[in-house]
Amino acid sequence: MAAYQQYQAEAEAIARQIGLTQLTAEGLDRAVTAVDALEKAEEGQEMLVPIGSGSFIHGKLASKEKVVLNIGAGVSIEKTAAEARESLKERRAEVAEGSKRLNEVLSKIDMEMQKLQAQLAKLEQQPGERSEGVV
Amino acid sequence: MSAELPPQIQNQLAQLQQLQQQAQAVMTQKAQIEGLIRETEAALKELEKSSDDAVIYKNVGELLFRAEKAKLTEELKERKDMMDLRLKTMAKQEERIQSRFAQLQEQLKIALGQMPPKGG
Repeated sequence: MAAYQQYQAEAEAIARQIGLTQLTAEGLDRAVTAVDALEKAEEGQEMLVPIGSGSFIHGKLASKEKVVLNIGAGVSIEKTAAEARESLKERRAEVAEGSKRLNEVLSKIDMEMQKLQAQLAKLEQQPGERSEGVV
Repeated sequence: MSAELPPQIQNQLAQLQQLQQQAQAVMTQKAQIEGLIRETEAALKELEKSSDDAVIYKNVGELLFRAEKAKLTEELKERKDMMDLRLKTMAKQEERIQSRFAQLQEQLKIALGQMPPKGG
């Protein structure tokens, strides 16, 4: 029973991580789409700049060649649009790989939990040795 | 079940549980620091790859302030050193908790072994 609970806690933690990974992937996809859109945009073109909570302020595109990328640890670096696209796609691939690994671990835990569940069900069926409250 | 155990054993069990929680908390903190160290190392690597005249910004809340590459690199290195030190301290703390846990577990095993068998 303790092992089952341990697996359950691990599975929940991994499922949370997968959810976060999904959000990161979506953010990276949005960034790549925006960098791609720069190619078709014109400098000086009117645009709306997001300031959070679905709100925007008016702005004009000052440069379609420069993109500022967050590189972690509170640091951002200016790159060309092409470099930024490449970097974002690399990160996207890393996130996809991480997500795949997490899903594999989750499947393994799920299998172990199913095995334990079967064992517990068997124990419950044994006459005279009913363990109440299992699962 | 715990109601049938002598108070001393119940106390040791509670201590064991407390140590387990402490170990969990230290492990979580350690994982967080390790994550921050990895992030800082990646940022340092990226800075290293960039040219000396690269345009770099330091994030302060929602604002980005222009920063000098050399100065920011130094700042990140210092931050990483501090985190490395914290990680070492946490590892020692984890070791202490684990050793106390093993000791207590052993004591508990002996105490449970000395308990008279249940009548019935």
